[in-house]
Amino acid sequence: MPENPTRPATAAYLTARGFCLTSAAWMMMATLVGFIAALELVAPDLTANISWLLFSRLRPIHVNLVLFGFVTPGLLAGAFYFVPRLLRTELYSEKLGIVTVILWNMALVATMVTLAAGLTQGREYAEMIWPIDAGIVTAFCLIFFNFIMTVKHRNEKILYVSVWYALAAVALTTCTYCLGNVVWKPDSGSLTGIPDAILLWFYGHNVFGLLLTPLSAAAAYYIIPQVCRSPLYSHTLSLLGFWSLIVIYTHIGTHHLLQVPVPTWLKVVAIVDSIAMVIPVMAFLINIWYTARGKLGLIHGDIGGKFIFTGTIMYFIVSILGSLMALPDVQRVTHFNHWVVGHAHIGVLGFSGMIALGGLYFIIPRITGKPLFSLFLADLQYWMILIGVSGFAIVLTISGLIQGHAWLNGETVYRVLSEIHIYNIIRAALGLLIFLSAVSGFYNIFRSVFSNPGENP
Amino acid sequence: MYYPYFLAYILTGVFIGIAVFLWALKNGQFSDQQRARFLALEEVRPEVAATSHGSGFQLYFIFYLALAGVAASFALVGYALFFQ
Repeated sequence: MPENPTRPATAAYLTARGFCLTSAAWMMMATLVGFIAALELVAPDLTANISWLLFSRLRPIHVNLVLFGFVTPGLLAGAFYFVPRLLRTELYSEKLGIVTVILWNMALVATMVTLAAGLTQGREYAEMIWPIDAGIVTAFCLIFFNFIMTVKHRNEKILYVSVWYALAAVALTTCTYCLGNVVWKPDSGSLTGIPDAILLWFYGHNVFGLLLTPLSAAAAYYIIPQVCRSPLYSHTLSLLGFWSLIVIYTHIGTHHLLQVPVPTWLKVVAIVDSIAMVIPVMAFLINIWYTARGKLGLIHGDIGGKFIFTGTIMYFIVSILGSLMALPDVQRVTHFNHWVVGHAHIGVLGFSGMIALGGLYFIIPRITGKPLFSLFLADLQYWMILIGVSGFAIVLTISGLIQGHAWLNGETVYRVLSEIHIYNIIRAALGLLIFLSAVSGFYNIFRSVFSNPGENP
Repeated sequence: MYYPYFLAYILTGVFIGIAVFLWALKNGQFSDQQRARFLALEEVRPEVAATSHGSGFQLYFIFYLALAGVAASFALVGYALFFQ
């Protein structure tokens, strides 16, 4: 490795450390807000007359903080560690990276304050007002510049698949974020009518498909071979998965709009490509699972590997669900109800969130040069999240099916509310579990990065 | 009329994608795939001990906090099921 051997370990990977702490801290806030919002589904008058705690304000805060506060920074922390390592060089600029971390956190604080104050553009996943959009896009541009300059100064000719995924995630998200938030119209942040819906869901689904998914795949492709101490099953297959993801995933957003008068050809493209997502998904999973074949003991013995491998299983589940949900006949039952919320939790918490946390626990000992503060707490968090997300999947699926069938049968809403009440209670209880796992995780990660009593090896 | 914007974006994306793919092809990114399989393993790093160094009091506090959360979750569900 051409790293500077005289540089002390504590000065290295400052950007990765910054994103580690960002992810852990905002996970606490995001899950707390989610928990309070879930409580309001059980007791709607809980925060009556407190405007900034109304469900309509908490929901977008929860969603945006999970996406941009917890999961994305967690995955970026991993990327800022493994991109330079895979290129056998150092990050182009740690200073620029730190500026990015600070800018990112300023945008998150502004997001929370403005959405709580009711300053919203009212479009799902694109609620933030224009100045915050500008901050987030600038942060993505800085990250892309840092990565691409690192690539330019690389000492390894071949770009490992994780580098492809990380670069594509940042570059494509910069474009889709600008488009989806209609940044050329600062006042409204939207077009009008059906074109706006198409553009919004093009962006909305690509937040998962072109940001969280590639960054998660990048982390898995880097960490699973290391944990298993064996080479990747097939690099060619991984590149096939990468390029097919880029070609297919970009078109599927309109499957959110099958009940809307968008052009039929666009719906057909969205449905066909949603089914075709089996190709990149299985290319990724076959590759990872074959790499890990016969090595599950090693994965079980590494907390980062354990989180990530579980994340790949969740990816399988969420992808199969996603493909099926794009079918119009299935969607008649599953759309506009809790089923979709369950699907989103499996995807964002079970898949990307698990992999983000796995990445954090994998890189922290390597960037600090010390062991994790507590393996026990990390393991505890793993089980709390696994139980929480599995529970979410079960109760939200049941409650979604009740809602969907009731709607099809023309039942009135208030009769259905009493039928799903118990599932909302369990959902809130599981939310508490996830929030406490985030508190435990933050404490563990904070102590691991700062004031870790562990000895340097 | 919104198709021109969308088509322009799609075509831009397709052309950039093809350009990057062709660069990769000419740059030899798809050759030597056997060596590429090992790239994630080639880092040299000091072995890190896997043991925990957390102090007992703090660990127990967090553990009991988590336990209290689990208990509260069950209590909430139990209350809703049997006492309402």
